[in-house]
Parts: sequence; structure tokens; C-alpha cells
Amino acid sequence: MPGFSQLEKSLTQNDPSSMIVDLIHRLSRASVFLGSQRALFGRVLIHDRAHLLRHSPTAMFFYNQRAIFFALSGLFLLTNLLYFILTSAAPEVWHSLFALLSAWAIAFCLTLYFHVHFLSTLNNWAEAGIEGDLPPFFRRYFLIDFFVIYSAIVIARLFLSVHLDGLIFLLLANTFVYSAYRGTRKSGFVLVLCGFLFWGLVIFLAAEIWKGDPAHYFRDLSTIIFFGSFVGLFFATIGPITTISDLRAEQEKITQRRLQLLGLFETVLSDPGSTDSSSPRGGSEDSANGDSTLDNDSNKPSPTKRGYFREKATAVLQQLCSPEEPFWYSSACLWLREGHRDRRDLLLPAATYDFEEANDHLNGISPNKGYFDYPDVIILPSLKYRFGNDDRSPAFRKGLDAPAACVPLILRGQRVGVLALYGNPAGPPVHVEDRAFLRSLGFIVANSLEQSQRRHRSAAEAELDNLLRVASLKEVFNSAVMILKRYLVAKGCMVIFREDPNLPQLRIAAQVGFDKDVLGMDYEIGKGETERCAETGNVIRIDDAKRHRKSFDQERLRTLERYHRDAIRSWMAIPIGPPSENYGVIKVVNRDFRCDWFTDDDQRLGENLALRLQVIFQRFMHLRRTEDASREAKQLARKAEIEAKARQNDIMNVTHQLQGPLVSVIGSTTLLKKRYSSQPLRRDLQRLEDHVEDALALCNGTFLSLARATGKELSLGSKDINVFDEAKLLVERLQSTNSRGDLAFEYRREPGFPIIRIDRDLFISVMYTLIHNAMKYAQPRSRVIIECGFEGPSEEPALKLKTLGPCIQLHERDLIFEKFERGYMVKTTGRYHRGVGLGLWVARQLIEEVGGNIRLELSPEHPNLAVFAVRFPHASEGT
Amino acid sequence: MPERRAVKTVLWFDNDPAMIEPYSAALRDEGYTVTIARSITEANSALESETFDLLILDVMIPTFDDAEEEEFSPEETDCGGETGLAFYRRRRQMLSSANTEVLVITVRLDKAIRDAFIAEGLATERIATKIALRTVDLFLERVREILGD
Repeated sequence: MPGFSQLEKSLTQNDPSSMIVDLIHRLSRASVFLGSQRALFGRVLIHDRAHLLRHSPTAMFFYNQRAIFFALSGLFLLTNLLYFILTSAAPEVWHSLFALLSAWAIAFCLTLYFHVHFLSTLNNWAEAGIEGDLPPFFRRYFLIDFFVIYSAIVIARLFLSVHLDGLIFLLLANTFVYSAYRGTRKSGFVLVLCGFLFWGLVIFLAAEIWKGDPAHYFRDLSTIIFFGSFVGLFFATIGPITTISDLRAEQEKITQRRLQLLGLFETVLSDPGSTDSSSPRGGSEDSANGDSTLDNDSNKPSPTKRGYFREKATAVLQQLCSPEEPFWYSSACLWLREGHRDRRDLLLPAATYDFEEANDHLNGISPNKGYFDYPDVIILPSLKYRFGNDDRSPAFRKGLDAPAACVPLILRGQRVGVLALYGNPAGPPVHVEDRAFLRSLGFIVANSLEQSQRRHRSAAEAELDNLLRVASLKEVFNSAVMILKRYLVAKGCMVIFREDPNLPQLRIAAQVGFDKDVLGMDYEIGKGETERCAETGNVIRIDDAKRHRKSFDQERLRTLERYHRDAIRSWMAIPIGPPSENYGVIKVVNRDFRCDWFTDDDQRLGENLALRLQVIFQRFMHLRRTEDASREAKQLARKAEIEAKARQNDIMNVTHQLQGPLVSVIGSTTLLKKRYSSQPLRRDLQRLEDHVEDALALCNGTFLSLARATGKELSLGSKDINVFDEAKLLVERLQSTNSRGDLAFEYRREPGFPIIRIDRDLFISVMYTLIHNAMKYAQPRSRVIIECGFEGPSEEPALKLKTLGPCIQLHERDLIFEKFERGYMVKTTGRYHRGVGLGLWVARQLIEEVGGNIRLELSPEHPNLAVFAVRFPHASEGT
Repeated sequence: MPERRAVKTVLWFDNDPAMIEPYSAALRDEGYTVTIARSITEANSALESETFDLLILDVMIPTFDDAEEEEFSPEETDCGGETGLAFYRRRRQMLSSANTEVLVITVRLDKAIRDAFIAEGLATERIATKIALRTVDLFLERVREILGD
């Protein structure tokens, strides 16, 4: 994208050079009458006051053309007068000359008479703003010329008997010119009427010529008039055509240039990378005051920061006000609308070029001043020459005889500012295309302003969103306060945090722009404006703190000013969350950019950022609550674990303590059996021994499992056992100690089933659990099958115990081996409420201790069938 | 040196004689002379005054006074199970020279304790749980095996 300088170079290569074009340019820019005066006398003797016509080149050309015609025709008549005096011309010649002189004098006098009215119309047109390239001033002159010439022809023929019929060419030329000037607009009644009159005259003259002697037209003055009119027709028609053509060509170039400029301006304003480093040339308020938001490292404004748009706009204004023709803009000021709580809406100078007056109005002007509240672009050809009943005066440079324009900046139907442009008295005239150009420029500036604001807002939001990834709340506070200060362009900023929305206390969590001691300030709901903001959930904005000083707590305000080391001029508090969930307040003081109060845009941005901060705080609060809950849960879990371990230890100790007495009882019973041979006594003693053996198996198994679970390494024995026989003996013993005589035990053994090397007591404990469970849960009068066989590809020896009992669901297959777990049916059916859920866990712990395993096989086809399979670790040599 | 008698003598060092009553009775029924020691003092006294064919030693033996406490280092008394081991370790030489066999029995036998006794030269079959020897027949069978009866 070329810069301004490159573009200018490309645009200034089209200067007209031909003399004709130059002449036409001259005739379309300034009054020839005035120019002639200057050429003759070096100063203006008579001012025709028609210079405003220069803003309409076509009108100026026609104005000059008529003046030239008058001058030439007057000169022509005077020359003829002298000639006829010297040559003693015939009466008929004198009659012709008299008619011509009379017509010229009448037209001249009428022109002078109507010139005041013409000027009034011209100034009204200029005051109202330029509308169209062809202002409707010349109808009166057209009618004067038409009827004077028409009358001259008719009167000369009817009353003086002379033939001035050649003037009909001038009549035709006059009609052509006026029709051309009127362009495509409606011709109106006047032209139609003149057309009828003209053609009526033509027919009349044709009839007269047909009846009369054509030689009359080629005698003396008539000849000159005939040919002179014809030549006048030629030049009067060629001139406008050439002028209009040339002006159109030039306008096309200007239009092209305007389009290029618009494209460039749009790029410069919207593209962060297209700044022309050579363009800033002073005059910018930002440059003069410095911009705290510019990047110090690069000395270039960041697109996301305040001041960026102003820099760009200043560069655009500078280029726009370049002195080359055809642009008449020499100075400009971009006023942006800002709301003020006390002074209502104001226009603040945002960017200027050669407009020193803005420095006197840095605190803003009324948006209703002068033409600043016009809904559309207004172009004034001259600030000085303005008439009419409108008593409003231009906001600036009201005495300057130079053009000016006001371009409203509209965004979504709302007026956001005004671009005011001013020309030089000696500068180029305004053009009708200026309106469209300036309107487009207004759109571009307004849209760029919005883009800049949006970019600024998005950058602030993105920076705050990044805080969602920050690990600690303290870091959030410190980062947030810096972000808020930067984007709200405040001299002082603090985040006042309310840890618990239900509590009235607030504290300054982070600050910038104040002494550190400010952190000691107390905030509590019910005290001051800051707290009121938190309490109500509404933004409190005080744009003129000096004026509203009484609304503050005086002591706290003085304290705040002491810590800020400056007077508080503007103040804004933004709640972080609604009253029901308020996490505090963002407080900013003393705006530090453009104006010293916080704007509506600042407020919107602040509210948006506060919303994000609320989300961040909520997240942290949620995390904190979650962490607290997690910590509490962990403590509870640890406590439960400790309690569970204590419970295990208790059970372990109890079972351990029980084993000694139980062993003693067995010792006693076996001693008594040994000492006494009485069969009834021995039977009773055996029964007693069996019961104690059950208890001992239970205690030993539980103790061993719990000891294993607590990490103790126990010493286990290793003995060759015929598990089939041991299981059979155990069943017999349990049948005698448990009242399940209805169950039918079946024993199956595959041939070659080996002797198993295992701790016998451990094996007894495992089998005790399985058989005891079978006796507890087996259906009445059902069969319990104990089967010793082989399974798996490696033919491992396994003992299976098959029972029909309560349905065990598939997902419970592993669950029932967990500690203190029981099957759903067992838990939910009152019939099976015995037990604590340790048996199967004990069995699995024990068998796994010696390298075996135990599992439950279920069959969907037989939901009541449960098969507990015990795989043994070692097989001995024998069978 | 105390004189060795023809009848097999057994010193049973256990702090809970009620628990061992049926087994000591069975031993007596079988003709053994059984001496019960409830404390270290009693055990030391018995060993110094008499030679025994078999010492049945509980792993966990208590100390009742400061004198007994001095028998063991603090580390040894930290765990009750290690007092029996320390007792055996100190008298191992004396027992060996007196040809006194040793049978260690306990309700709970930790692998570490068993390994420690084995490291002190005790055979595996000389270490048993009370559960493994809970019937008098099993108990007598083991005693006979040890004494070669």
C-alpha cells in the first residue's frame, strides 16, 4: 500500500497544459470582470461580489461568458457607431444601429438592476450549502436576453423597417446555452414557452424572406449582424460544450483521486501496519501532550491502545489538508462526542491539523454549536458571506471568507462526532463532489473509530481473559489492576475485593497510582460511595469531583487524595457483580487521556471488564470451595481410613486374642478324649471340638487376611494335603455344627487329581468360608457339589463348589470379594442378613497369599447357580 | 553342673499357664516332668538349677521388673516378640552345651521372627504356631519327634 507521499506523486501528474483548457479553467474559476479590473489597474475598483460563483465552475463560466458577450457586443456597437458617423451612413443603417444599441442598453441596465438579486440568490445558495453543480441563478438573465433580442428583431422589422433577422442566431445560441446549463433537469414552462415563440418567429421570418428580397440581408449592417450572430452562435455553443466536457474530464480525475484518497484513508485508519512515518507534522493534540498509552519501546502506537486512532486520524487530516488543488481543505478538526454527567454531551477535539483553536477547547464544546448538529454533510462556500434568517453562527472562523464543511460521524444512527474542515480565502473553490466525498470520509472515520474502540475493548477483554489461566488470586489482582488502569486510562486504579458477598467487609486487594499505605484503608458496606456501588450493583461515576465533593466522605476523600498525591477530579466505581453476588468494586480516579473525566465508553468497557473479573473471582471462589471440600473429603477419607485400619486392627487383635483360648479349648477337649474312653463323652467332646475348630478356622482366616492387608508378613506352613478328603471332612464337620441337614453334598474328583502342598489351616479357612456360605445361602433341599478337577489350558488343579442360591448379578462377580461387601440380593433380602461381608474377601486374601486364586463363575442361563472355583498354587508329586 | 535325670524333663516358659495347662497335663500323662516358668527370673532360676531335655519357649515373654528389663536392650523390648528371641540368643550356648532341645511356639508367627530364630540355628520344625499343635496328639507327636522318643 503506497503511503501518502507516493500517492500524491501519482496524483499530481495530470496538470492541464493546453492554453484552451487553461483559459476555460480561468473562466470557470474567477470572474473575468474582476480579473480584468485587476489586470488593468492592479487593484479592485468595482467588485461584482460574484466570487462565490467560483464554487460552481460551470456557473462561473456562464457568468463570464455573458460578461464577455456584453463587453464584445458593446465594443462592436461603439465601433460601428463611430464608423457610421464618419461615413455618413444611410438612415436605415442608423435605424438598425439604434435598435441594436437600445437592446444592448436595456439588457445591460436590466442586468445591473438584477445583479443585487442575483447576488442575494448566490449567497443564499452558498449559505445553504452547495447543492448541485448548476445553481439556478441564470433563468432571469436568459429571459432578459431572449426577450430583448426577440423584441429587437420584431420591433426593427415592424416599426423601423430594418432587418435584424440575423439576431435569431443569437436567440438560438441563448436558448442552446441555457438549455445546456439546465442540463438534464426539467426544462420547465419557460423553455417551452420560449421554444414556441422562437419557432413562431422563425416561421414568420421565413415567410417574410420568402416574400421579400433576400438581398436585404446582405446589405450594410444587416450583413454584419447576420454573420456576427452566426459567429456568436458558433462560439456560444462551442464554448459551453468544451467547458462542460473539460470540467467533466477534470471532475473524473478529481473523483478518481478522491476515491484513491478514500481507499488510502480507510487503509490507514483500519490497518495497524500502514502508518506513514513521515506524515505526522505536528498540530496533533496527542503529539503535543504525549500519549501515556503509546508503547514506550517502539514509540509507535499499539492498535489496541488509546491514542492509536488519534494518531491515525491526525495523519489522515494532515494529508487531507494538503494545499494542492482541487482540495480546498487547509485545516481540520475531528471532534468526538463524549458524555458528561454534568455538562451533558460534549464534543472533544480528537485530532487536528492546523487548527489551533482546539487547544482552547480541550474540555469540549457543545455539540449544538454552529453547524455541528446538522444531520448531513454541509458545505459552506464562505463562512463570512452567509445570509438568511438562520441566526446560528459558525463555531469557529466565522469571519473568514473561506469555505468550510461539517461532516457528521454517524454510527448506527447515533451521532458520535463531527469532522470540521476549513479552507483558505485564497484557496481552491469547493466542488459539488465534495459532499459525496466527505460523506464517505465521514463513514470511514466513524467506522474506523468504532473498529478502534472494538479493538481496544477486545484487547482489554483478551488480557483479562488470560487471567483465567493465572494460578493465584493475588496474581489476578495485581495483573487486573494494571490492565484496568491501562485500558481505562486512569491515573489511579484499585481493585477492592469482597471475599464473601454475604459479608460487608471489603479490602483493597491491589492498587496502582497510589501510595502503598492506601492498602490500609477500610471499606465496609454502608460507609461511602464505593460501598454504595458494591451494595447497589450500580456504576457510580462522578465526572466533576470538585463540583460533587460534598457527596463524598470528606475525610476518606482527603485520605485518598493524599495517597494519590493529587486532587481527585474524576471518579468512577464499577461493581464486580450484582448485589447478590458482589465481589467488590473497581475504582478508578482521574482520567489521563483527552479529557479528565471517564467517558461513557470507559464506563461500558469498565462494566464489561468487571463482568469478566466477576467470572474470574467466581472461578477462584469455586476452586477454593472445591479445594476446601476436597481437603475436607480427604481428611474424612483419611479419618475413615484410620478408623478402618483401627477396625481392622481391632478385629485382627480380637481374632488373635481369641485364637489362644480356642487352641487351649481344643487342647483340653483332645486331652479329655484321650483320657476318657466313654463313647458318649467322647462324642460330646468331639462335637465341642468341632465347634471350636469352626471358630478357630474363622478367627485364623480373618486374622491372617487382616494381617496380610496391613502388610505383615506371616509365616505359613507348607504341607501335602489331600484337598478332596480335607474338604469332605470339613463338610462333615460343618454339617454337624450347622443345621443344614436338608442339603445334599456331592463330591466329584477327576482321576489324577494331585496332592496339594499348602498351609493346612489356611486351606481350611478358605474352604470353611466357601462351605459355610453355601450352607447359609443354598436353596432348601438343594445339592451342593464339591468337585476336584482340572481347568485351563495348563490343566491346573482346582476345586469348585457349586450351589444354587440367591441370584448374584454379573457386575457383582468381583464386587462380592471386596471387604465388607455383599451381594445385592443378600443385602436387600431380610432372610440373608447375617454376616458383615468379610468371608469371601478373607478367602481370596488367603488363597492369593499362597499364590492361588479364587473366582466366581456365573451363568446367565442359570442365574441362581454360583460356582466358586479355587485354583491351588502348588501340586505335590503324589495323588 | 546339675545332674541329668532319666525321666525327660521339660521347661515350659510361658507367661500364661492357663493356656498351656492341657498340653502340660498331656506331657505329664506321657511321663514327662514339666516345669513351668512364668517369668525370666523363674526361667533363669530353673535353667541354673536343673538341666532340661526340652525348653518350650513362647516368642512373647514379658518382663516384670527392672532386673528383667535389664536383660534386654531397649530395641529388644520394643517388640514383645523379640524378647523370646533375645532370651534364646543369650542362652543358646548354654542350652546347646546342656543338650537341651528347644521348641518355639506362638499364636502368631511373623516371618521375620521365624527367620531370626532360624538364623540363630534353630531348625524350621522347632518353630510352630499353637494352632498347628492345637490337639494334644499333634503336640505330643511334635515333642516326641524332637526328643526322639
